Amino acid sequence: MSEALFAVVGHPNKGKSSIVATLTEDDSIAISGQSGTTTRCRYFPMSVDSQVLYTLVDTPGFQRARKALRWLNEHNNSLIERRATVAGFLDTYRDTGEYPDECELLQPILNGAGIIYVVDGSVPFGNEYEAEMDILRWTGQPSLALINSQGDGAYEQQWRDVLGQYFQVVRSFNAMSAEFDKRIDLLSTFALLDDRWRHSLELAVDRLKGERQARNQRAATIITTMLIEMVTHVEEQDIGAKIESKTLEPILELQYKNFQRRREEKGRRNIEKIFDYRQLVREESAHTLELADLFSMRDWYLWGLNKAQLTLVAAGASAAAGAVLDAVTLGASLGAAALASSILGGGAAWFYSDKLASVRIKQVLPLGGRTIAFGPSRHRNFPYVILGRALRHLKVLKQRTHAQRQVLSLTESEEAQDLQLEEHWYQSLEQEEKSALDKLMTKLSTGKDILNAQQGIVKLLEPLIAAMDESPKQ
Amino acid sequence: MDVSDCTHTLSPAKLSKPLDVVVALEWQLHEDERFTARELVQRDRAIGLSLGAQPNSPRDYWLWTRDWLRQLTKKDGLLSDAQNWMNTLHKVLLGLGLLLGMLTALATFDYDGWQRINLLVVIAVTCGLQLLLCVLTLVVMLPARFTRFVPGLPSAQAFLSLLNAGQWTGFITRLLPGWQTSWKTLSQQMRRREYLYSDVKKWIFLWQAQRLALAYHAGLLLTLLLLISFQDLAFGWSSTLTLETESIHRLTRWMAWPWHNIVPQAVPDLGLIDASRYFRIQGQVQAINVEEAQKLGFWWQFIILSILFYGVFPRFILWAICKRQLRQQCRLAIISHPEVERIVSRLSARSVSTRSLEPGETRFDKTQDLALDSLSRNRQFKSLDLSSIDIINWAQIDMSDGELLQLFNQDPEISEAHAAKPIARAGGICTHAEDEQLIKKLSAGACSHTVFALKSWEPPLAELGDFIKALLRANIEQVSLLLVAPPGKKVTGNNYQEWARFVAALGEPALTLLPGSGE
Ligand SMILES: Nc1nc2c(ncn2[C@@H]2O[C@H](COP(=O)(O)OP(=O)(O)OP(=O)(O)O)[C@@H](O)[C@H]2O)c(=O)[nH]1
Ligand SMILES: [Mg+2]
Repeated sequence: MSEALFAVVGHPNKGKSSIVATLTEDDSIAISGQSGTTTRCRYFPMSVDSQVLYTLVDTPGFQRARKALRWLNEHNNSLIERRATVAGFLDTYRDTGEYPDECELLQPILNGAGIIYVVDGSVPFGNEYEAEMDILRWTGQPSLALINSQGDGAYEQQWRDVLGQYFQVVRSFNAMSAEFDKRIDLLSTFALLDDRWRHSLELAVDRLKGERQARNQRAATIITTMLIEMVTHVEEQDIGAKIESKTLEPILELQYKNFQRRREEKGRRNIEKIFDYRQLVREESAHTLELADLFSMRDWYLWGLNKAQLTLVAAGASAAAGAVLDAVTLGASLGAAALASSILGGGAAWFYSDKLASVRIKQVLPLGGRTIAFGPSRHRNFPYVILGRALRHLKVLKQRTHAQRQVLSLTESEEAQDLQLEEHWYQSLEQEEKSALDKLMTKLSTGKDILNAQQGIVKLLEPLIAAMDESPKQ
Repeated sequence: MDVSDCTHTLSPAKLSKPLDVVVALEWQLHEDERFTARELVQRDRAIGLSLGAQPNSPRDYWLWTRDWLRQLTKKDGLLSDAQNWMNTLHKVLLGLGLLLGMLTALATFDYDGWQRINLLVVIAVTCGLQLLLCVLTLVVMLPARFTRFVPGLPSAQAFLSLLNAGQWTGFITRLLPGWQTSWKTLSQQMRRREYLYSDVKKWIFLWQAQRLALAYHAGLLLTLLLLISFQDLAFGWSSTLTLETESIHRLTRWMAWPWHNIVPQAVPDLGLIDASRYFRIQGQVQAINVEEAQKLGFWWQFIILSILFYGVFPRFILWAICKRQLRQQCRLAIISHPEVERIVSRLSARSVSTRSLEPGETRFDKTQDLALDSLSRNRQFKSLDLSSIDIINWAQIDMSDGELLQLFNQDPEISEAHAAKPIARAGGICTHAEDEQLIKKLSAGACSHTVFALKSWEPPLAELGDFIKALLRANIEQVSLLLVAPPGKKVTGNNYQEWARFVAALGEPALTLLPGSGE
C-alpha cells in the first residue's frame, strides 16, 4: 500500500488529537483534559481536487499495553513473525471488546500507516511507556516520535534519550502554538519516513503553501473591502420638509456607529471562516464587544496612528519628512509640527478632534423632500484604526491553532499590554510602504479614486499578513 | 433548490454586454447567499475546471467572471425579468425622445403659409442649443482628476449631472409597473456598493442621455422630412439686431463648410440669403412669386445637413464615447469587485481539503467536573496504620521506599517498623504475569487493605482498573489510591479531578481516592 498514511498514536491524553487538529486545521476534533477522549480512529485525508495526497489518523491511546504485549510474546516464536503476530492479535480480539483501544489504534498501522508517536516533554519518562513502544516496534512500520510539551518541556532531553532508542526520527512540536511554517516543516519530516511517500508529501506541502497564500490574499481583500465600506459609509434618512434636523442628528450618529460596529464584526467572522475556525467561542456580550469598542477614541492612537504620525499624514509630508526625521523624534516637537500642519493642511483641529463625520442635509430632486446624512467619515485616523484592529484580530487568530479550545479573547486589558510590547503594525512597514499607505488612506478619507486605492491597499496588506505565518526568529 | 441545479441550464444567457454582466453578477451574488461556502466551492470548482488555464491578468478575471455567469444564469430566470424590464425602460425613454423631437419639429417648422419660418430660430434650436448641450455633457464627462484643479468645476459638474436627462431614468423607473420585484432587489444590491458603481452609474446616465438625444433627433428629422414632403416650407430670416446679409452669409458659409464639396447645392449663396430676408413691419401679406417661393425652399437641404452635422453627429460621437466608457467602467467594476476575487479563487484554486469527512466520536461530550471538596486535595493525611496495609508502587515512581513511606505516615519509627515488609511493585516495567503473581500473593497475605502510590501526572489507564478489580475479587476488602506529585511540584487540581473521575467510573464502593499527597 503506497498511499501515505500516518497514525498518531501514544499514551492517552498526551495531545494526539491536538496535533491532528493543528495539522489539519480542523477544529471539530474532540480535545479534553480527560484521558480517553478519543475512542475511535478518525481519518483526515488531505486532498487536492479530490485526489488524496496523505491521510492522518487520530487514534485512542494505549490502555492495556502490557497485557497485549504478554499475549504477543506468548504467541510469537521469531522476530520474523512479529508483524504477523500483531495481525493475529487483531484477528483474535477485534470486536470482542477485550482490547478495544489497542485494536482500534493498531489497525491503521497494520494497514501500512507510518507511526507518529506522541509524548509530553513536561513530565518525566516512566516505565509504563515501554510496553507500548515495544508493541509499536513489533509492527515494523516506519516511525517518528513527537515531543509535545504541555508545560515547560523540562524533561525533553530525557525523552530524547529514550525515544532515540525506539524511533527513526525524534522532533519537538507544540500543538498549541505551532505557526504555519512549523507545521509545514513537520509535514516535510513525515516524508523522511518512507521514500514512497516523499513525492505526495512534497506535493502536499506545495499545495498547502499555495492554499495558505490564497487565504492570505483573501484575508487582505476582505479587510480592504471592510475598510472601504466603513470609511465611505453614509447613514441616510429621509426627512420631510418640516422635521427639525437637529433632533435627528444624535439618532443618526448612533445608527452610523452601530453600522460600523456590525460591519467590523461581520468582517471578523468572514476572516475566521477563511481560516476554518467554525466552532470558535468568543468572549462577547451584547454590550462589550471584544477589543475595546471601536469608538472609544482614547484608544485610537493605540490602533491607528499617533499624533506625530497623523500630523505628518495631514501635512501630506510623511514621505519627505519621514526620510529626515523619525516620527518619534518629531513627536517631541509636536507643537511646532501641529502648527505647521494647521497652516499647511488647514485641518489639524479636525484630526485631533473627536469628530467622526459631519451631518449634511440634502435636497432630493426632483420631487422635493430632504435627506439627512451622517458620514462619510473624514477623520484621518479612522481608516488606520480600522486596519489596526483588523490586523490585530487576524494576528491573534493566526497565533492560535485549531487545537485550542479556550475562548478567543481580545479583551481590553490584555490587549493594551500586548500592544505595548509588540511592534506597532504601522511601524513595521518600510518607509516607502508607509508613505504609499498614507497616500491610499488619504484617498479613502477624501473619497477619491477609491477603486485604485483598493488594489493598492490589498497589495500592501498581503506581505503584512503573510509575515504572521512565520515563527518569530530568535 | 440544489446547487447542482444551477450548473445545468437549458438556455444559457448570452451576456454580451458588460453591463449585462454586471447585472448578472449582482443577481448571482444575491442568489448565492442561499448556499454555504462549501457548496459554492463545490459548484464553482467544477465550472472552473472547464474554463481552462489559470487566470493571471485583470482581463482574465473579467473573462472568467463572464464565462462563469454564462454557465450559471438561465435565460428564463429572474435575471432576464430584470433585463426585459430594463429594455422596456429603454424603449420608453427612446419613445419619449422621439416624441420630444417631433414636437420640437412641429413647433419650429410651424408654417401656416403666411409667415416664413425664421431660419435664425431654426439654427438656434437645432444647432446652437444642441452644441451647447454637448459642451455641457462634455463637462460632466470630464474625469475627476481633471476637474479637481479648476475651482468651482466639480460643483458645476454635480449641478449639471442633476440636469442630465439620464438622471431622470431613476425617477421614471418608479412610475413604471414592475418596479417592485426583481429590479428593486437588484438596485438595492448595487446600492450597497456605491463606491464601486458610482462611475458605472454616471456613464449609464450619460449614455442614456445620448440615446435620448439621438432619438430626439430622429424624431426631429423624421417630422421635418414629412413636413417637407407634404408642405412647401418657406424659410426666411429676420432679426431685431441690425444684421447685415454678409454676416448671415458668413455664418452659413462657416456652417456649410463641412459639406460644401459634397453637396454644393446645400450651401446657400448670397442671393438666396438676400432674398430670404423679410421684415414683419412691411405688412402681413408679402407677396412671393412662385419662383421666389421655390428658391426659399432650397433652404431645406441646408437645414437637414446642419441638423445632421451639428445635432446628430456630435451626439453620435458622444454616444460612442459613453458606450465605450460604460463598457470600460463595467469591466473595471467587475475586476475590482470584492466578490469577484473570491469567485475567481473558487474557480481557479485547487480545492484543498484537510478536514475529516466523517463525524467525530468521543467518549465524553463534555468534561465532567466532579464536585469535590476543594480542600481534600491539599489536606495532608498522615493517619494510615502501616502495619495493616500493603503498599504498591504502581509503575515505579522514582522514589525510595523510605521516601514513599514518609508520604503515608510521617512518624519515622513506624516507617522503620514497616521496613520489614517492603513496598510491592506492579505496573510499568513489571510484566503482566508478574502483576498476576502479586495479586495472588496479596490475597493470600494478612492485610485486607491495599494502597496504591500513583503518579498523579499520568492518566489513569484501564490496566490499573483491571488490576484493582482483580484485587477486590481476590479477598482484598479495601483499596485506596494515593496520588504522588511529580518531582518538585504539587498535585494539580486537574490531575486530582482526573483520578477522581477514574474512581467514580470504576464504581467500586471499596475503592477510595485518598486526599492530599506529599511533595
Ligand atoms: N499547554 C499545552 N497543552 C496541550 C498541548 N497539547 C495538548 N494539550 C492539552 O492536553 C490535553 C489532552 O489533549 P488531547 O489532544 O485530547 O490528547 P489525546 O492524546 O488526544 O487524548 P486522548 O484522546 O484522551 O487519548 C488537552 O487538555 C489539551 O488541551 C500543548 O502543546 N500544550
Ligand atoms: Mg484524542
